[in-house]
Amino acid sequence: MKHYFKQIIKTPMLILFIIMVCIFSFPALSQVAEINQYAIVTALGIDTIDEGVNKYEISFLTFIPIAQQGFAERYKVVTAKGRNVSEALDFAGIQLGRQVGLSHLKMVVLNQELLNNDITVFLDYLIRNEGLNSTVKLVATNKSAQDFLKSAQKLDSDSSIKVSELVSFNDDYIYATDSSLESFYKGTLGPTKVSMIAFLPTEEQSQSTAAGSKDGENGESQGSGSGGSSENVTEDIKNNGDTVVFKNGKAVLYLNGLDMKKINLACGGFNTGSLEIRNVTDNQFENANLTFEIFNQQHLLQVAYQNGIPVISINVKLTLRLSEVENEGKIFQENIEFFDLSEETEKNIKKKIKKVLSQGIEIMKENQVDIADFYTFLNNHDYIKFHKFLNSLQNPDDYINHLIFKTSVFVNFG
Amino acid sequence: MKVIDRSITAWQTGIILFIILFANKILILPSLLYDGAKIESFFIPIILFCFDFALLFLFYKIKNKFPNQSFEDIINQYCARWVRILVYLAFAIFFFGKTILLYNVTYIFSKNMIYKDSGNFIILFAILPVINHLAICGLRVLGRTAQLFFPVIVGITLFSIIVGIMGFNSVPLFFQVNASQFFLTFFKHISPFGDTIILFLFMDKIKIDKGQWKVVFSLFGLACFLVVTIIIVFLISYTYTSFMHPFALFELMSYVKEYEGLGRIDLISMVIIIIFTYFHLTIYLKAFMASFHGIFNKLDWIYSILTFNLLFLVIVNFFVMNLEIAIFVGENILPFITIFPFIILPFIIAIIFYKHKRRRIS
Repeated sequence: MKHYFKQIIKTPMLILFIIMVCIFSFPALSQVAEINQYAIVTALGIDTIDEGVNKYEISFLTFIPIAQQGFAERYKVVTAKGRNVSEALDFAGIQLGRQVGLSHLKMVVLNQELLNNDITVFLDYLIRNEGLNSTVKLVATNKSAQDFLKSAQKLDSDSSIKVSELVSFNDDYIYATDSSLESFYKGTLGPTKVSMIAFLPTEEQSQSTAAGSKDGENGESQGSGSGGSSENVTEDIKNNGDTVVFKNGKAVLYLNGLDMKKINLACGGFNTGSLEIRNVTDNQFENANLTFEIFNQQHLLQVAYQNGIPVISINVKLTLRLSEVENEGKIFQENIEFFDLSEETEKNIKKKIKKVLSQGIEIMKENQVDIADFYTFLNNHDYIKFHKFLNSLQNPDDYINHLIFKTSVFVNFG
Repeated sequence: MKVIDRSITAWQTGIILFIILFANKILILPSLLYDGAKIESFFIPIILFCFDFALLFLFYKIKNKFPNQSFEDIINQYCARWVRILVYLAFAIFFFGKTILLYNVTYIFSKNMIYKDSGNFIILFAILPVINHLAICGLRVLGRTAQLFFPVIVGITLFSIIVGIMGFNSVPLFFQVNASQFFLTFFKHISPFGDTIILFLFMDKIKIDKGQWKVVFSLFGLACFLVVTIIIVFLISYTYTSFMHPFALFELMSYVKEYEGLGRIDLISMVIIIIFTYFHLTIYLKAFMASFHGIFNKLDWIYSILTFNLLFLVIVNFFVMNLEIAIFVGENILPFITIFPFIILPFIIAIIFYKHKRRRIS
């Protein structure tokens, strides 16, 4: 033992290690558990109000850690008001008896009423928060953010689908867009000042439930009815690919999933989706509606200047797979495994896709929103020619209306 | 007190050089570079690494000419005493300035990203004893420890870069800066570079066998490649929002869409940043000790360690928790301190060396 202590004294780092253990371990034992110190916020909603000095109403969805045998998670919606976002969050923290921790925040919801203003003002607190992850989703909703979170609370508690996951893979589809805080700011701070976020409306859904059953554990459903069964009206969050387009932080355009399909066909970047071709008649089909799944897509942009005006060629190469046929009176076995489209049908399909592509470009031109970021492409391609072209315009911000587009579509059937 | 700096091999030298080339470059630098010179800013580290390469080449030439002499002996042999003091004073200030900048940025990173409640005291308590111990143990112990961690460092750095490439989702806008903006940014961010000078301070301790120089040059090249890649991947991933992300290596790991599927992989980059910090601070402490010994060569080693710790504790308290002051000092004061040891001095040495060689030939 004596030898052992002598050895320790000879090793100063060991003494230091023991001191460090004593200094850090014992105070750590007396500390409050972090789960009781911080409110774990998973979604945050911002609404504006006009109640005296208070301008903001902040609601958030917080996880309630509770011991239970099942797998269901419990969430609570907390709402507080304040003169700014920070103050409202402080009051929310006081309500809960915890500090508001945003490190696990996955979604920020904005009320539709806010979108006509510069929304960067409302998001300022969040981008200054170092703990916030870049992948936080930013969405808008048709009702108050508080109502949205109440619907989200039910979704998060009752199913394995979390509300933040609803838009996680949006940009894989031709009908939707990436909707993160990061992509919003990239667009707003970029040369086009255009950005997009997902629009998730809440819609009323009526459900019949047996009498006596609990009226929604979380208490946000509005029950009515009598007798043996009752009709519950619940609010459900719908992701139909609806998108809000912003310019300089303000909403300028609302697009539905089908409009997004037109624009995304011009922009590229998606992985999957479907295209429908109606009224196809050839040796195999008779007045049939064909739906093709997009298996692969490639976009190639080329530019040439004609009289100082950029002419952009958008070459879209799609690999399509027949996924659905609506052909009344025909036996489906005939064309389920082997199908051969006539040349004319192929031509019609290309024509249809070209038309959709042109419609997408028209939407961008009409609203002066360069969603595809042609600006960066033209600037990087030939800086001098492009800026000469911009300087020749009366309103350089409206450059998209002065661009000439040529489209070509190549289709492979896989 | 005796600090036994035993000789280190080519591999250990290369690994120490590899590690120190990451110092002050993988956290806040890429974001500041974008702020000043937009996407073209990735040329800045490439150019500055060319300067570092020139330094390494100069070291190779001098080492071959004076295989067993220290840099201090060489200066004493050709110059007056005051020149030696001036040169080593410049080295001491240069490395101390870099240490303060490094600690400050890492402290703010730790506080914001790892442990919100950590005070300066806790971080200092966790870092200072370890780096002091490692510095006292000597160069060979440092080299061997670095050798042990080397595969982990390379592995995690490569992993971070690969994950970062997964986050590419935008095309950057080129041609946004003019030459004056570019060169102003170049000058402002010269101070994180020039770490190759460390080799001169331990010149007599470095034993490189014939044919082993390729190891040192290869590891130098690998480190430059990885640092430049981290900066490029960061710039392309974040572009216009770079200013919102001050911790590059960490941010690379946190911006992937499949984040929720992969879990908190950014913890991996936290680990590597902490490992890097320990090594960087130790190497800077060793460099400071060697510089201090060059100024006061009759004083015991303990004085250099005490001076470093005292200055560190005093100055760090002015800087800590204030990233703005640290960035101001890093961009406006440190570049002037860096110019002499990094650019002017090697240039003078190269001219003297070249003239001496020509005179000998003639």
